[in-house]
Amino acid sequence: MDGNGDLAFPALVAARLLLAFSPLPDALKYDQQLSSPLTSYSRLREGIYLFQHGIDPYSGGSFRHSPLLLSLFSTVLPLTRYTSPILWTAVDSGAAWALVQIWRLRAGAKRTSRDGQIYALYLLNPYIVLPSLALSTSSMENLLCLLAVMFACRGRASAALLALACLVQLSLPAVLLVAPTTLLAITRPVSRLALARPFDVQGKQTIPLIAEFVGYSALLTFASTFVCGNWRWVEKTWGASLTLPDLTPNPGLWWYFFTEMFDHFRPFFLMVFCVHLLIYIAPVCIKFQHDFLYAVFLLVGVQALFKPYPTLSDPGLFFSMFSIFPEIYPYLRHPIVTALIHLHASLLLPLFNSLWLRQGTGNANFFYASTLVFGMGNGAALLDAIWAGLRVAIGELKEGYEVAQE
Amino acid sequence: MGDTLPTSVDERWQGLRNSLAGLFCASLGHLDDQRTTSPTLTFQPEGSLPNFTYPHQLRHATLPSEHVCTENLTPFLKLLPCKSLSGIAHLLNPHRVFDADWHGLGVHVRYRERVGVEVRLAFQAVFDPVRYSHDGRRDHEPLDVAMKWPDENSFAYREHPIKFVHTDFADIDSFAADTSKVSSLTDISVRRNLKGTSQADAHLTLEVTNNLPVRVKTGYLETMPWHLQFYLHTLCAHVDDSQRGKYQSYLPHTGVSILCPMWLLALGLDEGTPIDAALFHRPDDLVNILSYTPPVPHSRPALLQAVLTLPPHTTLRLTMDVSKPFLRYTEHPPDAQRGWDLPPAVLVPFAFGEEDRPEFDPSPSNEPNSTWVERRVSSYPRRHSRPRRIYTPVMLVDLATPDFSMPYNVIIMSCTLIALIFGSVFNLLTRRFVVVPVDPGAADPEKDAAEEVAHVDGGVCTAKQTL
Repeated sequence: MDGNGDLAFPALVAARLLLAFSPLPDALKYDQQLSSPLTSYSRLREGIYLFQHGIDPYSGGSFRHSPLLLSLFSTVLPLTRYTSPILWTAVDSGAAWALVQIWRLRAGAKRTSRDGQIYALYLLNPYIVLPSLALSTSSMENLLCLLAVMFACRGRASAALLALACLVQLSLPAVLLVAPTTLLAITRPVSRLALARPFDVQGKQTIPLIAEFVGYSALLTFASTFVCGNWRWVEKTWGASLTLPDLTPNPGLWWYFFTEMFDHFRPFFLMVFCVHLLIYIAPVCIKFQHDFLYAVFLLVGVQALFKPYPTLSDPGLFFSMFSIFPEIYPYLRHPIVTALIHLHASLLLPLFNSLWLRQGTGNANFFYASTLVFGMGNGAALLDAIWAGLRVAIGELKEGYEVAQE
Repeated sequence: MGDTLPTSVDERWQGLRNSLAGLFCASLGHLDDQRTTSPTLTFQPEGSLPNFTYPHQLRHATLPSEHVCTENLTPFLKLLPCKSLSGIAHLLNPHRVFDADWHGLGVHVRYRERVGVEVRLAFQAVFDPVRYSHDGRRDHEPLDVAMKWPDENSFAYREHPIKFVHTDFADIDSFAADTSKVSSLTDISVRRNLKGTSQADAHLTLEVTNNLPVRVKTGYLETMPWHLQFYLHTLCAHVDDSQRGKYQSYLPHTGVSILCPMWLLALGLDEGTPIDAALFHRPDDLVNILSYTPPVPHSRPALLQAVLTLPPHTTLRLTMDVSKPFLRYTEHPPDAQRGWDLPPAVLVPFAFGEEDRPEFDPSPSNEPNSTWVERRVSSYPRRHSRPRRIYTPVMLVDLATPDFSMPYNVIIMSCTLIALIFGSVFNLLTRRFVVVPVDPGAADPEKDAAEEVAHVDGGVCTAKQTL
């Protein structure tokens, strides 16, 4: 079995690289489900092009990537036909590697028989492979998220917070993960779902870490401002997550809601949607204070569901992270229903998008309905995970007993 | 605009377009910030100007579609002594002229030293004689009426090119019979179209054909509202269907971009060999982007200014990927499925040939219409005359539309889903899990329900493990 795990990773990476150089990525380039306006490769290329020619890319309305990516790709790593697929494959492989490291730290073993499976569950997950083939920068967000969690699991708080600060630079909704990742860094990642005994965490311990995170964020913010020469990027990148200026369809719940919103209610509902995302942090962290890795996992799910500009790779990360919690599998509430809703939605999404925007035989409601089904599927998966994470503490039941809520 | 003149250029521009809109009964007032740009290369100030290098600003806006109104002609008729009742002004019959295949109205104002402010009003129309003749005759004599005012002292106007052109389609049969020998009618022809079936992205193509035997340099201006967004990095140039690769461009830095057109203007735009070295990154490049202003959704259009170099007798084809944005439902006009009209691109040929160019032989050659070509080349405007501008036809872009009847439904359904998930998460996180005994053997539903309540009540007391 160990041999399998060792072989699986290079084989999967090779297959992934082969796919990256196939003609498939060209067909997926402009797919709206795979890359949002905040993560689109074409817009990134456009921004780099303008930047290299002395035009401030943030003076327009289409470039919304972080200045960090702008400076990285305009200097160190030029994006070409050959480097981009290799880079994105490397990013995916790195993320899969980080996920396996997290699993090993959780299992407390150097090498387990499930390593190969976890590699496969990340690198073969269509929700992750397709956005990555479309060269969406959400693959990099996934990598940073998994790296932050991995460093936190190892107890290397500074590295974790730095990765997290970079992640927040790329995608503002990732602030959801700050609290559980910080708490994870000062506790241990081992599975205590069944034990349900909280760690002995002092509130004071987190204060220097939060300060460190703020320091890193401030540093990166100033670096970004230095790259751009002005503060306009803040409005274009972070502001987009708060005000939703670009209504390009995506699999999330925001775009059609704010397309159809009455103008005088728009600010109110924007505020409601933003605050609603933050509401989940405290309850999830409190309820799962015995296992902060699980809290991170749940908040990744919440983020995938309620993010302003999600792509398929956000739910993809959530589903791939299921693989590191095998103890909850017997207790999932309605796994069949959730899987079927997802199958349904993942077939409907591309179909209805094409019917609306390419064939012209459907209208916007078709695609909206499929995003609702997709949201329902993600929500069901999130509820399954919360239920199973709490239910696992009760363990196997004798005949004639059932679990209910008070 | 009254005694108190607005100070800023934009205020005065707003005042100007509003007054023009009122004067001509046209929707020129819609030329707001979403349509206004400041191109530097294409439109040069005309008339007697104090000093050309003096800082000046320019505003340009295009309204791609406009419905005609019979009142459009009123400002013209008001200036005439007998209105449209007699004389050649009789021809300015709105019902007749707006029925023409093509018509154009023009107002040109310029200041001339020692003369004063000159206002030039122009009306042009192209009629189809076949359509108007009762018996479908095609052998009409071309009617070309050019009118001059009788006495320039009697009116304060100097030039009055009110011209009615009666086009002649008599030789249309010979056109169809042998097209190979027929030379093209224009020196430079331009086509611009939008390809692609998707409502999210498309492909913009500009085809410029140079029918002259000399190399032509032309300014290219694209003023695009944010309803179409360019991916400038995908711009490709093809010459006669062979790709020239990704072009090299010279985009000056912000400070320089203001100066560059100034150099052009100051040095004169034609025969500018020294300008080549200064401006263009590689002289053999065919496309040189001078400036680009990215669009800002809901406020500012994109402005692309480039210089195209057209080799003799070739077609230059530029292709670029564009994306179509998605609008809020309140931003769509009535009849949203019709799409949006996009303003035309403008081409300004400014340099014809080069003196040291070997392939350009000014002497009569085996070219069948060489004298004609020569005449046309030499008739092209030089330094001090107004350059000719070529406009492409307007384009229609169809943007994806949401369902306009759905706002309440969408608000209700999205909020329901969010509330459902939030409620369930809240429920799972706040209520304790308890183990309750159930009796699997119970058959009677009423009894079962009653029992279950009892069990649940008891279950709380007998819960073995709670969270």
